[in-house]
Amino acid sequence: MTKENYPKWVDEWAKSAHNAFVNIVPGNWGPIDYLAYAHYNNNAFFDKLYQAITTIKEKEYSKEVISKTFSCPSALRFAFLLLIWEYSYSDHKYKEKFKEIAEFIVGMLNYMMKEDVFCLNRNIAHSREEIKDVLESTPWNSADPNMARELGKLYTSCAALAFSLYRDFFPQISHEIYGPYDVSSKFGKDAILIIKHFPKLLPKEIWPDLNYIYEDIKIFQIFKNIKLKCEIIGMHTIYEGDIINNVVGYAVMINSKFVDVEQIKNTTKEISEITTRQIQVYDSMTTDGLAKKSLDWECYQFIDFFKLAGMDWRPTKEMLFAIKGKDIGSRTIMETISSFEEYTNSLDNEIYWLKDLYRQKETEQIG
Amino acid sequence: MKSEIMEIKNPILKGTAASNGIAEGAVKVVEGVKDITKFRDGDILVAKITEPSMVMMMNMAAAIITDKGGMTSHPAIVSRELGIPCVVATQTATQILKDGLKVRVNGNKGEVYLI
Repeated sequence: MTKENYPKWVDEWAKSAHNAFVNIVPGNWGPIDYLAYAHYNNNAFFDKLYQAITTIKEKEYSKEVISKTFSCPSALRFAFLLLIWEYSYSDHKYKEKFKEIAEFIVGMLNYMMKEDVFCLNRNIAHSREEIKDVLESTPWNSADPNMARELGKLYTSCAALAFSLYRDFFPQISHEIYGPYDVSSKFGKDAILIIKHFPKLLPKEIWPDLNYIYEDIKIFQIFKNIKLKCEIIGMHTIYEGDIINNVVGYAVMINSKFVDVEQIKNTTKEISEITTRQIQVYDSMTTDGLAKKSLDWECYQFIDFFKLAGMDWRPTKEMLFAIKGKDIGSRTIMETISSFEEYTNSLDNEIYWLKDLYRQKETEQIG
Repeated sequence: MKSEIMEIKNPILKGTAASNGIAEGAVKVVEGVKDITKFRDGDILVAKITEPSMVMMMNMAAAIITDKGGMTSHPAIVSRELGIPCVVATQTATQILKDGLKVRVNGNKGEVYLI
């Protein structure tokens, strides 16, 4: 605990979250005003998740089993951010319940991450043994700048598909960048491995009409003389160095099978076309429809978690009622981000509410 | 040498240098998928901010320039993966640049020049 009597992870979270906001703001995200949505949600999703956590704890599942219900660490980190928003906007602060949710999520992230839990700099979720297995079991191909560009196009197409399926607030369900992992033992001095993973690319539960084969794509790339920095959402990468001329090896896996160059090119083309069709779907949706879809996305982040708890993963009646007919705009606009000092102390920002979980009891409202 | 001097003196736009490299090409101001028919391999993609609907154009672009965005915004991340120059947060690129203008994008400095 700090002198203000809150755990150290709150400061670590604040640093990672603020760092990420600084690098992305100003921003303009869609397809709805998610801050208004979080306001109207008013504990509705919070209640559903609390019920699931309580049930999962009662059933005493191992952390290993529970961690596998999340598509990637970034999905859980961002889900936590949205939950803090929902909590901070809620009319009634069920402090003890939210403390339990927060500590459960942070506990899971501590288990899933091997270091830098909130990804201030690196997204290291694989153990050394797991990386050793990747190095030994992967049929590595040597790469040149042309191939590096092809991999860039595949990456861009997959990232766009993830955006088209989950739009601006939930693509991390289906898009994670892991690394950098030291692979100098196999590839020589200063060699690093970066894994670009696109899970849950075929979410028929929320888009029943999807009709393609791509469920899961992984791009493995070995670089030399490159530095990678990730953020709280792992896909937010910043490289130092030329990644086109410094890629020395690669492999691509589609639906658990390694593929060749022609298959990579075909996949890039096909996924670009699928994305273009999918993005047009939004043009025909009403604001109410988009708000309802946001409820689907919010719950879908935890679909396997709800299933593990024996619950229906879909939005509850309370969630649907909470946003029905509400005035929710079409964009989430964030033009500025506060200084770190203000971000961590102002009532208008989420960190205040995390710290508040550990303040004196006389201000609490027990839920 | 002449072009280097021109670069120092006359950037038409400045923004955040989001992906390194220098590229030249014809501007195409795009808003979404409807613009795919006018976009050619090697064009400079100019937008308020990139969206996934622009994926085919991004994969053909020689460089990307946007009005908005930061170092980890969509155009910045995608450009770095594609190995093409990118300048974000120019504020006015979509107002100043018009289709067909020939520009040089300096992603190292975050500057755009008419050529």
